[in-house]
Amino acid sequence: MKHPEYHEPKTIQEACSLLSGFGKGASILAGGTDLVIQMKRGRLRPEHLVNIKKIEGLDAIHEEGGGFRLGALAKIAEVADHAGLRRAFPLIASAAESIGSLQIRNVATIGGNLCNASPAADMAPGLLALEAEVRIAGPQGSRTVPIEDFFVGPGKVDLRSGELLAEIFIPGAARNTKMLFHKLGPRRAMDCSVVSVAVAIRLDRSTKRCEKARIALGAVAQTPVRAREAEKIVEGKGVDQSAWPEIVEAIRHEICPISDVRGSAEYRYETAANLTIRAIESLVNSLEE
Amino acid sequence: MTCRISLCVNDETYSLDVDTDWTLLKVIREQLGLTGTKEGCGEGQCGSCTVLLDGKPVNSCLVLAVDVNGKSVTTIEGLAEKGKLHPIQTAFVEKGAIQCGFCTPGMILTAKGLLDRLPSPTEEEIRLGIAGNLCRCTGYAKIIEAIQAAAPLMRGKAQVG
Repeated sequence: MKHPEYHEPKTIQEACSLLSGFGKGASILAGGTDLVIQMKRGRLRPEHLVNIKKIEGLDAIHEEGGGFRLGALAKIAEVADHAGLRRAFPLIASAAESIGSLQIRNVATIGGNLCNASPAADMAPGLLALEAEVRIAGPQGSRTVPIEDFFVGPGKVDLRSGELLAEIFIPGAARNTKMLFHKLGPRRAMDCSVVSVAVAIRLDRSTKRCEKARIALGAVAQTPVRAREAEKIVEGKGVDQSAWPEIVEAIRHEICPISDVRGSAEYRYETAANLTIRAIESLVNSLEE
Repeated sequence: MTCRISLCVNDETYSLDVDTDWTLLKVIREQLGLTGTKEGCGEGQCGSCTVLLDGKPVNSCLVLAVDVNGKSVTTIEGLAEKGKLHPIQTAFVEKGAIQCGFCTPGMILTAKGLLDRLPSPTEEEIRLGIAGNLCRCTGYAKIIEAIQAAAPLMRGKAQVG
């Protein structure tokens, strides 16, 4: 096998220009934890490796107007350890913590997790529930896309020729928003999710009415998905036990899991709904505290 | 394509010619002859290839050599100072945390990375910290004890040094 050509662009423009020129023969090297495995298994044989880690500023994490801006090259370990990010969006920190191992998190990047676009990508459900946006840099300039539109299919994202993911922006959440991410798997580390769920709800403490609900699920469809029907039920009917059967029914409509080595479709239907209910229940109970 | 990289390994700087798809693991074992770092799975699952890259534990089987130009690596061979074992190494020996020894280099370096970050870890934090290092022999109990025993020794070392 011919060894790939290796490139270290110093600016986004240079990177986009190289990627444009090389087309499908190029792979972006960020953390490399997915790429190197695919190269070793022979699934990917890039003619060109474009290492984007020499471009300055793509790994910053900083607050912006109550929200947070995360560079695509921010390492998963940095996302997990960032105190301000954890305070503002605890479910993003817990999603990051759930990925791989210490060794993987020290190298893998949030951009890579999203762009690898596994339907089970662990950073996705939380970002979906928080209605994040991604900024994509390309030869013609930048464009911003809601994260929900970024995932196109298994392993596919909305990146055109010459484009790369530059940043993720999480808008500020209202103060009484409660959020939670849960990843179901046989181990507490080193696993691909069997099912994952992220819930962000804004609850009125006194009335227990839900002003806004966002529910996102991973590993249960071709891409990570928002459960919009279920969200509307939670917003309309509230979080009381009486609403649960309808929420469960809605979740089951909105996902289409497959059977694979990690679980059967029916198992995923069941657990996706149960985990969503448990998440909602847990967030409601945390209101009492 | 071959690239020239400059790499500091265990405090010695090397100038190396590497192919673009060589991993750091391959360079460490085959070019530098440091065979303490092991290849178990080659896919970042078992942790036996763990080294410290700029002080942080990483799976060297997933890091491309071209990507570490100008960086600093510590392998298990670099842990002992002037022939004196590191407190973590001593603790592993004294607690009986080593059976076949294959996971041990990676396990010890992960432990170092963990204790550098969390000087007084709980048992839970240790278990999660070594989650990326598989051991087929010991059942992990003695490994966890060894890391717990090493923690106060490292804190002491930090105060003195």
